[in-house]
Amino acid sequence: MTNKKILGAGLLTLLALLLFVSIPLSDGQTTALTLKIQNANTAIGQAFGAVLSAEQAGVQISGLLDQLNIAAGLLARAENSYRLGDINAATTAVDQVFPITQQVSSLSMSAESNAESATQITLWLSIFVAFVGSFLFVSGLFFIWLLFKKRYIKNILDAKPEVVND
Amino acid sequence: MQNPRWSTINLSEFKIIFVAIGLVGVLLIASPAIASFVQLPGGERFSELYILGPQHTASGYPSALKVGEPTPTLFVGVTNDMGSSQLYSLSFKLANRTDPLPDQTTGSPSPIQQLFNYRMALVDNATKEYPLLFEIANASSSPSQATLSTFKVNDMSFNINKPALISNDTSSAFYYRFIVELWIYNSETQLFEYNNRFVYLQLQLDTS
Repeated sequence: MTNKKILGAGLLTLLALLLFVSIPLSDGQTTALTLKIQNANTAIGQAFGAVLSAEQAGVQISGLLDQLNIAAGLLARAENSYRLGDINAATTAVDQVFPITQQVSSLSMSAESNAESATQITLWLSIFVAFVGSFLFVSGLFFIWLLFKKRYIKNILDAKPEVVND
Repeated sequence: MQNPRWSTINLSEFKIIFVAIGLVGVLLIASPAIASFVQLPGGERFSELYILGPQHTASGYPSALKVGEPTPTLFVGVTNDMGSSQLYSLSFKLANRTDPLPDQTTGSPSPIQQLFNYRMALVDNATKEYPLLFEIANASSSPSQATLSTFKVNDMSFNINKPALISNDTSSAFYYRFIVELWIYNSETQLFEYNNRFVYLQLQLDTS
């Protein structure tokens, strides 16, 4: 009987200890997850900012947005799981967000840098073509004008009635 | 043989024609370079938000929901006509008839807590649709009040315990509103901002 009491008391103490330990752990887990979700939100925003800059530089961004959509979907899943109390599913989902956003950001930045160089070259080329093309066109037109003028005057002179002396 | 029309135009008039041809030609040749510097104004910029019925039309929306009976699949969609890529968030909320809807005058969202959200990044002129399947998994009712306990959307189950009172101005029915709000990410503030666009479905809880 005494042994049973001791065993029961021991079990109760163990249960109480487990509860005592698990509650702060669970709180800590939740806080860490909230922080992770906030960071993931920021990471997605920053990755989107990088994609937007790349788009403005003339990069085809549909592939990058596809990847970002995967990350956005995972974050939404994490937030929804968190709201529903499924901490493990939320953690798993949110942990997958960061590598994707990092990859999207770095790819966007390198693509933007390449696109900016290409845009500069295209711009200088188009300015060069504009100047040279305009010069050649105006020169050609001027040459045609000279020929035309010469012919016009000749035609007028040919059409001039001649005075015949008797 | 001389062309009689040509003879009526004098040389200075021909000169004007040549100068005009020259100017038009120079403009055409330089147009790619000019386009790099001149930004033409774009059209109207906006985002679309919609809910469509099972046939992808604005009909066939569920009206009365029975406990345990899922609705047919509806579709919620967003179209980006903002002129550049956008990051959107759809916020889904369930309200009863006394909960406030988003305020279009002040541009503020509904203050009730969201059930869940979807996020998507869309290129310009792109549309993204999501299927929506509702089910009232658990609800209780009395003659004057009903309480929606468990609401399911796309296999996500929400314990909401939201009451609905009988509305005197209509029939003796309990109504809920499933609200979808459109939020857009502002890359300057680095926050999602409510876009003052929402749609909602009025759902009647059929307690019979």
